[in-house]
Amino acid sequence: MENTENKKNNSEEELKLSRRNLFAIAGWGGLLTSMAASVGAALRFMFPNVLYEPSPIVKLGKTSDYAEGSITFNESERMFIFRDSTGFKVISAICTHLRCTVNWSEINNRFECPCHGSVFSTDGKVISGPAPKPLEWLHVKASPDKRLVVNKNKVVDKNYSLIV
Amino acid sequence: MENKNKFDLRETLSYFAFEVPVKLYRSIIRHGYPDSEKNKSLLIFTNFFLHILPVKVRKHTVKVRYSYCMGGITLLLFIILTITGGLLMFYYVPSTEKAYQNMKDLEFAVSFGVFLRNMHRWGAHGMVATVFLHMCRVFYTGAYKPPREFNWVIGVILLVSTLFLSFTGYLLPWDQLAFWAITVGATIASYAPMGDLQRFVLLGGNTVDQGALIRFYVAHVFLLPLVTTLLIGVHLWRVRKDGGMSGPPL
Repeated sequence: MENTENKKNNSEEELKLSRRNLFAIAGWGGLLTSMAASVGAALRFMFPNVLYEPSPIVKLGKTSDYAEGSITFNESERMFIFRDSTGFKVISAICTHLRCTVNWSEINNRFECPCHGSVFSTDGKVISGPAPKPLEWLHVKASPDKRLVVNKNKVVDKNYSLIV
Repeated sequence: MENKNKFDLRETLSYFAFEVPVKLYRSIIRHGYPDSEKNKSLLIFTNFFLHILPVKVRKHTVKVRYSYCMGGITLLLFIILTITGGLLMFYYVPSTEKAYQNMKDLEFAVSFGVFLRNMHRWGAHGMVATVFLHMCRVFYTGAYKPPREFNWVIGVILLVSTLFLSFTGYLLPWDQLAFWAITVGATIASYAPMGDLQRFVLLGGNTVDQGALIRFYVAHVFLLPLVTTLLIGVHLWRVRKDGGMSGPPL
């Protein structure tokens, strides 16, 4: 009888939160919470909200500047402009492997990446190499002053064409 | 009594010439002449710069062909890189408009600039090499085994931070090699889980531009050296605590 009563008393004492423990929990809890919040804030700080990057929508030359049947490479915007008998198609020159700029090979009639040897056909499909995806066809339209406007963030189907 | 308060030139001179220097010396060097075992030990562990060295070592430890001093050479290169890097910072501005010109100025217009830049460059290449060789030595002598397994883990983190220091330093000249290396490197990061987010935070945007340059610069001259210095301290301390350099059983 005595033993069981002792046990009961002990467990009751364990359950009781002493003033010292309460302050310890509050202190540590406050410290750890504020540290976690600081780390979280520092991590969020590393993601900028405003970017001063060039616009993904770029204005190129006049539609009349491109000869029929020509393939023009725009180095700064990293894209190829195809002018066929009906209109314009624009393909991104950014290799889908590691973002190097692909070259147009006149002899082999295909795109070749100088970095890791990916090869793409005229319609952007991967022929060989480490590239996992075909080259992206980009949305192109004509501005009122008859110039090409390409949206680098807008990927279109390979059959998409700007009819002029 | 009256005499004692009087100014005595001889006494004053001898005080400043002998007592003050001795007091100063004793305040810095707090042990006697190292002719006893005790004073020899005190010489090492009362000196901040020497205290990481063990007072006594086992015989094989001092044989060059046991470790080829690869860890020590790595530390020496890190110190050289810190000094040369600190000096290069006086002429380098991490701006996309100035960085390349600053780098060229260091090569052609600044006295000893090309020497310091090349010391920094070759020191960095050397450090990557010696870190790997050090790792090989530790592996082949079985020095990663208990009780040294935790120090191997710290060593792996140090290897990664060395590689990150190399990678971040790569972008700073802002030339074609740098630009495409970081374009490729950041895209490799994008293949990892949450990769696009990683690439974004690494470059501070979507393109390799000013945001990326300043991030790589801060990581290269502040964050990574801080982490590396701290871990080198822990690494050396652990070597001491685990009984000095590994070796055959006693």
